[in-house]
Amino acid sequence: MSELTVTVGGQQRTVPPGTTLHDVVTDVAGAQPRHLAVALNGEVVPRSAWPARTLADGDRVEVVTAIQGGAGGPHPHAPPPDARPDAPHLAARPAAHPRWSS
Amino acid sequence: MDDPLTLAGRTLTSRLILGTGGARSFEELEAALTASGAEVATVALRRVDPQARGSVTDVLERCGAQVLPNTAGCYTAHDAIVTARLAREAFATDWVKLEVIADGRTLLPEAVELLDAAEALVDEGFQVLPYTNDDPVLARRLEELGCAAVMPLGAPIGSGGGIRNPANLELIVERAGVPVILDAGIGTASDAARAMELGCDGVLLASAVTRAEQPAAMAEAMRHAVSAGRLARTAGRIPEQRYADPSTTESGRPDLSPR
Repeated sequence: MSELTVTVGGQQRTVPPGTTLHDVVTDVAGAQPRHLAVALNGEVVPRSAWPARTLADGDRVEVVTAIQGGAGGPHPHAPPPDARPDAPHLAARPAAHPRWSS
Repeated sequence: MDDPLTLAGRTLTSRLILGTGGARSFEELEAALTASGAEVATVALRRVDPQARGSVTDVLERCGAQVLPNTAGCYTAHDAIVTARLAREAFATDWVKLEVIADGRTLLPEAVELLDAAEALVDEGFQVLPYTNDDPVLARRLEELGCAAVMPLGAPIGSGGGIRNPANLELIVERAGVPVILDAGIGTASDAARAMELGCDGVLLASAVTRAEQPAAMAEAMRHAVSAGRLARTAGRIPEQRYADPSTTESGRPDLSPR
């Protein structure tokens, strides 16, 4: 089987078939295993499900953790969100104005 | 004075919540957090940085402060909801400081998206603490949706503009059945005291401390200001009036005129 192309933290990479979310998190976070959360294609995947979840071609993985953040969003002089390299891409913007349903 | 704040079912001795954004180092942040006496501090979620040394959550743990994750930088209800879920997974807390902002220049709340996100997150069992405009109607709607508090701004985030619309803040306080926490705009200690004097139940601030020349000193000032403002509010201030009102009686005044 050929390698899969996935996006991890906004960076494209190729991984062998059978690669799990757990593999990716270990690779990305390494020394910081605590206080992590993972979104796969904009959906949260609980830690307990990481080992069993194998990646598919085109999957988008975000591994996030705490940073300093205060009263309100980014600093007023920060660039718009699309230009912020550290802002995770959680999903495409909704087209119109959907009522949220989970 | 024993005057605790009950917020989302938790009893807090301190009415000051510290945002951690803007601190120049973890050491400065830890000193400021300690000096502030805050029992709750906000953090944001961003991509893991493999090169990062230390963590803001370590600082909070050392200070015994509860993590209050925020949804900073979210422009849609969708992104805020997913971010809140990620935060719950990462920190094992149901608390979320909900921010949905409209644009990067003003960072003002996006009211429609905010209501959508608040409704969804309350339904999912979150303790939702929404950053909102100083709009009494919006604050009431957020409370009706089941938010655990409402957190109106005093002035735009990071502006240090103080409290631009004290009259609206009083209207929010008058009607609120949940704690009102002034969030954003505080520049210096008198702003925090004013917020409490106007009837807010607490103050959330970050930049005023973290970007001060001496964060720990400003944090201590904020601790005193919030306490002083709360005391003044509960003590019952004298009415403001146009003319003087002598506090010394006229009766018994000696006749000191010359012969």
